[in-house]
Amino acid sequence: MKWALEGIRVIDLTDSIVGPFTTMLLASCGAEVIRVESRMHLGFRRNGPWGPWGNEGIPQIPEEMIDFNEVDINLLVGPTYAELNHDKLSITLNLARSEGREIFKRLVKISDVVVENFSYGVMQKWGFDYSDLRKIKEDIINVTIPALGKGPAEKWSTWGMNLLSYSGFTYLWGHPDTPVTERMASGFHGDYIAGTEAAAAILAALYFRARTGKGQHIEISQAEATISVLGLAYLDYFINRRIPQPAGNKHPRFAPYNCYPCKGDDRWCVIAVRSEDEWQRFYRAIDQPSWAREEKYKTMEERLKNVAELDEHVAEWTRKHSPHQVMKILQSFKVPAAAVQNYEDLFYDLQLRNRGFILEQNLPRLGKIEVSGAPLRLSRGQKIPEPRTAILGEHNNYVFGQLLGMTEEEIKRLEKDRIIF
Amino acid sequence: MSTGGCSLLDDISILDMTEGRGQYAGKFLADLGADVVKIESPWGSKARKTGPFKDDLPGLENSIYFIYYNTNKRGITLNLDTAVGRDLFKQLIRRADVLIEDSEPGFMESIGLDYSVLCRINQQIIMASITGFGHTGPYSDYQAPDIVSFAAGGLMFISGAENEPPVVAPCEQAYHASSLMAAFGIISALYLRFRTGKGQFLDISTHEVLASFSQGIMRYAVTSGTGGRTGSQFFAAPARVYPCKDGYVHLLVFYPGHWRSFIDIIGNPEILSDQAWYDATFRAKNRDLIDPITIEFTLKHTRAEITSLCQSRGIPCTPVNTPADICDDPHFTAREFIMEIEHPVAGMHSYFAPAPKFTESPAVTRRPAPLLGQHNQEIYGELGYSDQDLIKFRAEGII
Repeated sequence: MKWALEGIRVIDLTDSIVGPFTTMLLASCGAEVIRVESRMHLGFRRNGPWGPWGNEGIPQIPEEMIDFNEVDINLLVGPTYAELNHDKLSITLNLARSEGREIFKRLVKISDVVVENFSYGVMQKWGFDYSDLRKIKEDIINVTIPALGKGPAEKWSTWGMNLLSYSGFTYLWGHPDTPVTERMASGFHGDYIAGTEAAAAILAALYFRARTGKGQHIEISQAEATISVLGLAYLDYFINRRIPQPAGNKHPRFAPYNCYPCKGDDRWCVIAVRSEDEWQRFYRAIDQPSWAREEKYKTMEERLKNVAELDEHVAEWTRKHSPHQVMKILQSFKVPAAAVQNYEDLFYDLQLRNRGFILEQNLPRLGKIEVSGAPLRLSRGQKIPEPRTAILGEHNNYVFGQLLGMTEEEIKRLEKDRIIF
Repeated sequence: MSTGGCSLLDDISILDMTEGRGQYAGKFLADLGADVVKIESPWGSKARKTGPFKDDLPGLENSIYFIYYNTNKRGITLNLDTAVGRDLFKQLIRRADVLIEDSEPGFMESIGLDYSVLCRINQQIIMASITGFGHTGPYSDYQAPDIVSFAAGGLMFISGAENEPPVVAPCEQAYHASSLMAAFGIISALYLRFRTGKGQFLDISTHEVLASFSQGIMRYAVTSGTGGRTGSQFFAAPARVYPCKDGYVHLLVFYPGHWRSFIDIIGNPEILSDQAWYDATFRAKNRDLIDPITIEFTLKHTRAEITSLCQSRGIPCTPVNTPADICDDPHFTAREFIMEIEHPVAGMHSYFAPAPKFTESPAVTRRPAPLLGQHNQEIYGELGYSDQDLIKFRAEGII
């Protein structure tokens, strides 16, 4: 057996970030992930509203304005889509039509896992509730990754950024004096956390099935997964009844410990001195300045008391260097420090490139681009990813013909009838 | 609190040596039913000395930080600086399925307990090593507390308000991210082992995990842009956090349908009637005009009113919550997301039910965080040591 998930077939009905990241992790361990898509709903394939901002040349046409007959499927691979959906198969199947849904059921019969992140009610409306799916395949593992999950707010529409606010992240993510309206709420951290949890939960269910023969339904509420990783702030409230406040970059027990300005516009580094030993090494690394020998910086306690002044001195030094110089100089003295890397820095990151983390793909419209590879290394059973993103419906013949045994004429007819569409 | 029964990983025993970035991995696996044994030095894990503390009183059993990461684990003490301690460790390895550790690369080798040694003791062992930058490459020996990983991984640069320095995420998110990725890797390795009988070594680089969470490589490849900070602002309008009567709401009006509903809700002001406003990019460019009109509306209503008005029309909108708000949220109350657990020192306290909900083999919170050395007798007893032996080990500073 070459790969950990060799022979496991996953039906992927997801879009946006959380679901595709989940199935990307499964694909990285060798699962056969079949994305069920349709021209009727192109989602992130087109780029999605979350494509990199200011990306020239990618049309942002509202879905209702697209003539589905005219769509050139060969061009439909947006960059965010390619980041998360490489090395998966793609089929087109129109689930809005009952004939499409019948074909879907045949696919379920030969699969192990079905993953979706539709709003609550969509799968049920189609007759794909877990109770339905398990009638088709008794040991199916049926996974849903809703924003909030079943309950009073199950119908809410929320995007990843909303969930940061809803879960408590936004309130806590800022400097102590950052107004609430300006705090951080524009990323996808919750999507990635929930996606990783979902992938782990799916594998645990596969492991359980291997031992017991039983399938099951798994629900991972993105909100609950996101709240769970803020546990420390919540537990402080639970036990001490204290509503935690944003702490910024400073540490209650260590100094210097902060984000400091560097040479250049909007360039920054972080330095974290956590012990006397690290302070001594820091002192040597920055060429033993006289200020650092003053009484008021002698102990951690003193440094914490005089942290504002201390940070000024440190910033004086960091401003003379680039972020990567600070990282290199301090790390060579074993002092924790890093460049606050921007997208360009990540792209050229020596460590990521040395470990072969970055994958190169050729996209129809954008040409050559680089994307993230698998964020873990198994010494056994990991798949070297095929650095390629399937075009819409590329695997129709394999899935409908080879796996489901349809004839060429049948597939042609279904294409004409907009079932395979 | 239920015990035993049929849970996902109830045949798996895990040794957890983590001190920082890897602590949440064992916690997550314990929620899925694995028997996770936290190994601490006889003087207690670093985590026990990390705040916040119950009633702000530092003490080995008072650390909320330790309680959070170790609920559902059992705990023993073991001094790996002694030869006897290392020998006990090897005995534990013989009967374990998984070892999780988060020391610097080279440390395990320096105490003679690296994978090449451990796999000779137990061929099937799965060893997961969670480091800052991974075991290979030019940065592999770099020191990497949470803030370093968050900065180097590309998430910090894009975190924060537009005109402020970058700001790290609350509650050690780099640590949580790499811990969860390790949990995923460990279960894939268990699955492979179930099918092939072979163990393995897992190299989890926090740097790589965060780089993939940031999408930075792809974004630079496509746009040649460096990224930047926008606070809560999204590329549309109204699309950010707004103040309201009793707090704040996060409102995202992006699609034409959202806009149609939104202007309806605020009473179709004449000034926003032109078709051009249906374009999110156009609106983003004219935020200065839209935001004051939005705030005029939000300030007149409560969080609950705005959320319900918007959600009933399909507009993504939520309140901006603090932990206190979530505890009173009817959605989570109905889902029994917050449960009670009793800790011998912290007393009865709330805790989260595990986030993944399984129909066949539920994840459950079974036990509070262990007291220092609480399960020494139980676990060393399983190895065949008597109470007499344990007294001797204790006197010699081994446990």
